[in-house]
Amino acid sequence: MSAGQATAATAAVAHAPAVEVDNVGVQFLRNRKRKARIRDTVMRRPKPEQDTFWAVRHVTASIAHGETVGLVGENGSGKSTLLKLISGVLIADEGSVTVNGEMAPLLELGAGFSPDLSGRENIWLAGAIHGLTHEQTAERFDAIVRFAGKGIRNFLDTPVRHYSSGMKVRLGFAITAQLDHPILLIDEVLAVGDRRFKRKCYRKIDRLLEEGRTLIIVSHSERDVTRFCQRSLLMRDGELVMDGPTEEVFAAYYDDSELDDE
Amino acid sequence: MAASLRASASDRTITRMTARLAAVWSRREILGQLVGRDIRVKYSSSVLGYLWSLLEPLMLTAVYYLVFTFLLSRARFGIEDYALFLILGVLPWLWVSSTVGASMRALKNQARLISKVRIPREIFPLGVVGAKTFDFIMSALVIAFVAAIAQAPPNPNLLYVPVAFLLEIMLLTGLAFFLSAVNVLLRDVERLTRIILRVGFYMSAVVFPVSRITQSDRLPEWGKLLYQSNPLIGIFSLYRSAFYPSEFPSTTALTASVVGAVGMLIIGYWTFIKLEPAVLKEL
Repeated sequence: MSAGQATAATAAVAHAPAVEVDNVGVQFLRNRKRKARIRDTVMRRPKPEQDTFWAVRHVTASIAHGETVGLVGENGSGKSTLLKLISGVLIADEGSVTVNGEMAPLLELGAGFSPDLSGRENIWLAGAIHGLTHEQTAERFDAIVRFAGKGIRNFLDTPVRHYSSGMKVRLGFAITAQLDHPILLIDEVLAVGDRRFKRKCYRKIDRLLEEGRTLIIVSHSERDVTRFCQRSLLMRDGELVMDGPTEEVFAAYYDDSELDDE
Repeated sequence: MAASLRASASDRTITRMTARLAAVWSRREILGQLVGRDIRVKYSSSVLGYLWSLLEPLMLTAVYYLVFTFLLSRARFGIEDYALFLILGVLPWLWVSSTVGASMRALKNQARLISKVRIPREIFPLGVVGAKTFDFIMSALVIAFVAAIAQAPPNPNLLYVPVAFLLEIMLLTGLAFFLSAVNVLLRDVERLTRIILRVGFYMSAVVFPVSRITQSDRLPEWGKLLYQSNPLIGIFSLYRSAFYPSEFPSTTALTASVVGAVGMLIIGYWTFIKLEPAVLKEL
């Protein structure tokens, strides 16, 4: 759905959920060492069923406008894949994902950076990637640099390739914080950055939530999730095993992990 | 009943296509930024800058000029101002080969961005076509220069040049869609394409006139027809006809160009959309 259409649609479906995931599934190939060759494709070799696996399957959930939801689960449980399906960077093989409203097309802070361009050029590029017009980026440019902090301002004309990981995250978050999209998706971002910047991010997210935005966070950190989300979804082996209050979900998550350890 | 069902299915395809194109249009700012970035990198980061985009066509032209003038002394194919004739073929050909080469990596090179951020994926092949088109327009200034030296004025066929330009853009856009997606999934496409490009250079009458083939008595009729079914023949001949009226393409060649350009655009985009889910998993 295009940005323009989404705005028009938002008013009409204000009571509809922000994100609706209906029995969604996506399948990957296992054990494939290398890409196929033209010959294999032309000869149409049958793909044996055991060669594929479902990274996510039978997941159904509905997220209302203004809700904040945590996605919890062990590595490889499918939580990031689910977030990708919601964001549209993966297309489901089964079921459907419906998004009502504009969604910030961002999964990982700083993912859109082009390493050979300077910080300044990257802000312009990121603005375009996130759907801002030239004028909108110009208006927000100073606010972005101010939020990113002094460490960035002094290196605005340095190629981002020379930035530390912390600096990239700062700049990435500063750009995200200036977006108007009502739905935000965040994948494991609060893990980097020093304490002061973390506090700044928390405050910013609180403010975004007060504005009534919808937020979906993927994280291992109980603190991060508990701080923002009343509700969490627990993923295990590609399936949604629990959908409820965050404390209960974490209790179940820890039980899971302990069972596995034994 | 069956007919109405089919109609609604094709309606849906058209609606989907329209929605996709609307999405690309609404995100055209990214296209501008990406094309601008490529152009800036190419034209500002090297000392020779703009001259680089002229050097390749000029060198190629010089080489073929020398080969066909001095080494193959009977050659030059009886053409006046052979250098002008050559450059009119070499420039549009380089536009094809550079677009084809770069479009195979259009999605691959942006894998990080594409697998993290939701952007209409069409942007990337379109960006390649845009940047290469800009290069072509810039280098086309050489034609005016060579024509001035040869004191060869263009004729009214010059009016057909925009038609040739549009046909070539359509053809290249279709190819870019097709190759960018297929090359993510199949590993030998790049090699195969490189061979086809080599052959294509000689199959597209870049260094000799089309009449060499069409008026040859050693080739059977079907061979001539097959030769002219290459959509590039008609396009290149249109460019050339602006200075060489006798090069104006035959109806067969023109038809092949129009059908080829429109067909490639449709097939390319269709393939791109069909392969998209698989491409996203692979990146």
